Amino acid sequence: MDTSHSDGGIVARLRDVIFSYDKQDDTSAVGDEHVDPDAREGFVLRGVDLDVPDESFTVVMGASGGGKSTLLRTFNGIIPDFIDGTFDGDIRVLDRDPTTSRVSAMARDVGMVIQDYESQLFGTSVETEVAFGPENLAVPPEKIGPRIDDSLSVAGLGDLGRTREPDSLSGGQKQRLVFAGVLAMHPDLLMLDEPTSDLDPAGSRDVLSVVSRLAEAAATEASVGDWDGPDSIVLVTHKIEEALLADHAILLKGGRAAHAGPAEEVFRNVEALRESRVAVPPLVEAFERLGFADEDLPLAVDSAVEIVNNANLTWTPPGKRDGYSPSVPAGTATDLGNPLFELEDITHEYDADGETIRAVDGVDLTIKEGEALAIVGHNGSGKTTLAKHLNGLLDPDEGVARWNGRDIRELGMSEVGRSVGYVFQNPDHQIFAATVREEVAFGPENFELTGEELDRRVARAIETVELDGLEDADPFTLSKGQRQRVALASVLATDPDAIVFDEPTTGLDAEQQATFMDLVADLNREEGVTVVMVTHSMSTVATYAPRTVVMSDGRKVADEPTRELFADEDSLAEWDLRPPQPVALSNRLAAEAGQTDALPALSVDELVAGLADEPITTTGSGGGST
Amino acid sequence: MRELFAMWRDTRMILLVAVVAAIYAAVLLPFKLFTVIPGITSIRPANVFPVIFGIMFGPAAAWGAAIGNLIGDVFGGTLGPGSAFGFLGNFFFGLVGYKLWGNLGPLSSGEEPNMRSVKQVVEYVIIAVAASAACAVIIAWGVDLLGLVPFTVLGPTIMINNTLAAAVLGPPLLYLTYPRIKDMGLLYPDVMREEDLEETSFSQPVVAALGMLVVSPTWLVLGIYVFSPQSTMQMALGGVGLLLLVVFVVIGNQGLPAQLKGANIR
Amino acid sequence: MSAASSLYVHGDSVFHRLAPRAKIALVAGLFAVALVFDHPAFVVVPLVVAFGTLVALGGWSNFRRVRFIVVAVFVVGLVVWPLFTPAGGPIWLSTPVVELTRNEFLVALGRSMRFASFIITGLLFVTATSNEELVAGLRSLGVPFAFCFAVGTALRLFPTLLGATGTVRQAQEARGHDLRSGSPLQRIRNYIPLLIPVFMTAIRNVQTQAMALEARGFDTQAERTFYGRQSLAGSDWVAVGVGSLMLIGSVLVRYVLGMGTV
Repeated sequence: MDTSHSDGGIVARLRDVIFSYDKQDDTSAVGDEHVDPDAREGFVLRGVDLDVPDESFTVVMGASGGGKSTLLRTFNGIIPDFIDGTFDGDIRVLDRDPTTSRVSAMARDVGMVIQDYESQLFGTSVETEVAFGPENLAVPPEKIGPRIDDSLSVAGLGDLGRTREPDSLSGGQKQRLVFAGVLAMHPDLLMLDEPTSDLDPAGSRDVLSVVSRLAEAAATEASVGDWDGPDSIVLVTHKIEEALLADHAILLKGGRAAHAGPAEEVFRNVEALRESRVAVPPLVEAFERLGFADEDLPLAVDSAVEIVNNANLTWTPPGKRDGYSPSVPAGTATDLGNPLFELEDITHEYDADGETIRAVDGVDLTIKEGEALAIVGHNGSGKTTLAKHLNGLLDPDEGVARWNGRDIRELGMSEVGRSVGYVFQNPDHQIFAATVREEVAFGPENFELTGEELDRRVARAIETVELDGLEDADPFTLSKGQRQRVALASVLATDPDAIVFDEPTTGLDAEQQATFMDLVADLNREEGVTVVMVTHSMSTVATYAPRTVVMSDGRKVADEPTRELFADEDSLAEWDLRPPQPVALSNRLAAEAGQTDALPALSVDELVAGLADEPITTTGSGGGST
Repeated sequence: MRELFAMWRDTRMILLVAVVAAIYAAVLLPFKLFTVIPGITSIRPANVFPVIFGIMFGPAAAWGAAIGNLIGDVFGGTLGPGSAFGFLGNFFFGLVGYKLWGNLGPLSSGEEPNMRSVKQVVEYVIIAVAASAACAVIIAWGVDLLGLVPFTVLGPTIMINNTLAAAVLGPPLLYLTYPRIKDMGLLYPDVMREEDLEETSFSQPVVAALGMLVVSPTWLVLGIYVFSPQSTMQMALGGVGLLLLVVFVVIGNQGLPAQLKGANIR
Repeated sequence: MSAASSLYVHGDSVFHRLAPRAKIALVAGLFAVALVFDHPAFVVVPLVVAFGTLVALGGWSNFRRVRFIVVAVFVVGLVVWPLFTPAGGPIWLSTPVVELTRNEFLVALGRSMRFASFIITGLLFVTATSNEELVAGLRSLGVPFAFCFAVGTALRLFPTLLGATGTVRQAQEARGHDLRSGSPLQRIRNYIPLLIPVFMTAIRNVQTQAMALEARGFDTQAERTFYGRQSLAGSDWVAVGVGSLMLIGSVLVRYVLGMGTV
């Protein structure tokens, strides 16, 4: 390995680094209070001192808006070369000073992959995309060919047609194509900024296996073609299962590096994690509450089983399958009314490149008033297509969709649209108005609501989503989590009986997800709003949906209480669904104890209760994912 | 004129060209059918983009509109010799906006185009008409030259379609998006280097702006009512008109940078 | 969703395999023939050649997509051009309102065929040329890199935005938005809630894209290399020759021999 870059085993060294996106006159008054970086005001970095060890895989974690991405952007000169603001401090990366280098010059040594893959693809084909970086570095053309082959193969895309257009790829493939494009530049340091946040579980796993392969290469000097891989990797993430791949961890708090050390130690340090507002790994949290010492806390299901056995703990399942099935942790409406939606033998086809694709294939589904239901399944399983039949956005090619006993096709948007809200995945696909208030009023106005009634509903919807005080703000300036809540409010303002959520938490971090889903659960529980959520997130399902429908290849393959569904791990594996850690652990413990009809714990609270043999006590709101 | 070439040095401007082109083509395509059938006027909302993007993104919008129209031809199945004139016409569609805003002398509001006053809306509508006319005459002239559709038929069609969308949609869109794009730091005076936007010794911004304002509508009227399609005079009219437009581009300048500077000082 | 937007049809025909430059030369030759002649008997040649090749290359479905445009320009041309053509020759059609002479009809028919021929030839090119080749073709004609890059990136973003346009339309529809409501003026304004999310989402990404682009080493001032630049093969030169021959030949036939006029 080329060690000429390393500075005594340190690949990046930061000293007293401060940064603010806006111009600050006084760099000494960095302050201490936490600021929301979406507001882009005040200092985001407030005197960062840190060392990234060479030949390491380092993960950086911290609260939303804690400056993680900002920090990474100082490594390759984006700050201060590309983003103008207020910067001060000393940085050495690979023996160079990025503060005086152009971003394109740092690109020779530092590769970067960010969350939004759509913004990182520039080519008209797979091959041009991967060749682009090396061409920019003036690599001789005859050497680019082998680099393309090697990089695509490391990214797990070796079989992909070289002339395929990037737009025809899945999200996971697109992100891996970005990886290939960056790897073809042979960076010594690879920076990954939430590379899986916009991906579904399958896409995330594919990307993570690339990351693991690279991490192994960094650690063992295994070679990637004629190149020995990046020497070091720095990953920013809010997903704990990703963070556990790293060997070194840094926690950011209030714009400073608060903790650093071996990952295994840092992620067992519950106090440090909480201080930095980083999600504590669920098993760590559970066993800490059971009274185990920090160094004994398990990070994986296997080690947790071992601890349970060694400590002679007994697992008491939360309910019996043939008895009553306890509700989900978040709690939901208990009085289910008449059937609100009745879908009979729904089939929906569409045309793609002259081929007819049957997206939904003969699905029956009845949803009662007040229910909270999840529809899951991998990409292309037909779950979104199915959901769009609930408010008439799509009409079935065969079968009939009824709402309150009436054929939706015959109702028209003015009738069914105001009663059945639909929250899309990306709030930016609907926000246009100048203020939050006008945005929220758009729906009810279309449904011809005016005057005081309109004002009342709008005000109430904004209050419900906890955006009061921001009525006159420009929705474009809000954070992604807040924008998603504006979208929800704009649906709530029409006072719907039912709301369909289409992957509402994609791209939100753990904290924003919990805030959003707790709101949804409240609406269901307190107001009896029927909730249908199309989602990839198994922890969301476990916490918020008492009933789950599984779609696969356009067909409904399961429709049962979530807890019972999660008890059957063989079937879950068949549908490529991975249950959250508390579920997996309790299933394992039940199996080892020979409890064949036991139901799993769906949350940390339930896991602790079952192991401590105590009644369930809920801590915090909603629980589960935070 | 320097800005039209100097902008290719800047990463953000290049990406703005690509994004403007992709947006224009994506919104243009569903309405493609009507763009080539003469005599049919219809709502083509995409036609507002070259004008408002021109005002906000300057030269990036001129190139972007030209490329976007070309992509529309490629995906709409209407690529041909006429596409060259489509390219040129849409280039001017995007260019007129930033050359005229703030440079129209007594007709100018003297303010940033945030559409917060009636004077601004008036200035904008004048510009929308001038830009629409420039686009219409160049395409109609070219297509007449190729013997595809008479100037008399296509000129008014394009003029009406362009003007309707640009004049009606422009003010509300600018009202809602100009402040946001300014906040993002993506207005062309904020992105480009100052020296690339400065006046040259022979610059006559107001003369050029007023010249552009007069040339295109005059060309349109003469082309429709005075000269017959495919006549030598029709060809010559186009040659002279185009030459004048180019001259005005050379001696013209952009008004927004000075307005932004003024706003900052205040 | 977006896959249906491209007109490119994968294939391995001789035409498909030509270098972009050679395809451009052939297509330019066909354009020239259609442009130089006025008489339908001559203009029909490039029209038939282009149409036959298009169908042979699997482009029939593409033709179906634009058939309405082709029929419409044809009909409109037949109606419009007689109004602007000097009368001449015997009267072929006589009605109380208008009379149509032979010359007027032939010119109109020739013009309509020319337009149709342009569209079909362009379609042929697009059917056999991928986006990647399109950009490579521009590049091989000496167009500066930054411009080619912008075209390529626009082509790459275009289907994504087309998909977004559909999503935005659904999202606003779900909120009760109806494009077809109101007065004519209001109907134009109805596009505002559709246009803003589409273009603001795209423009919001520009800063991130520019950052990602520079992090990939993009620098307009720096030296760069080009991968996969191909020189012209034998068949390409033949195609360039044929294209040039069509151009020169048709000019000679038309202006030296004086044929092909009405």
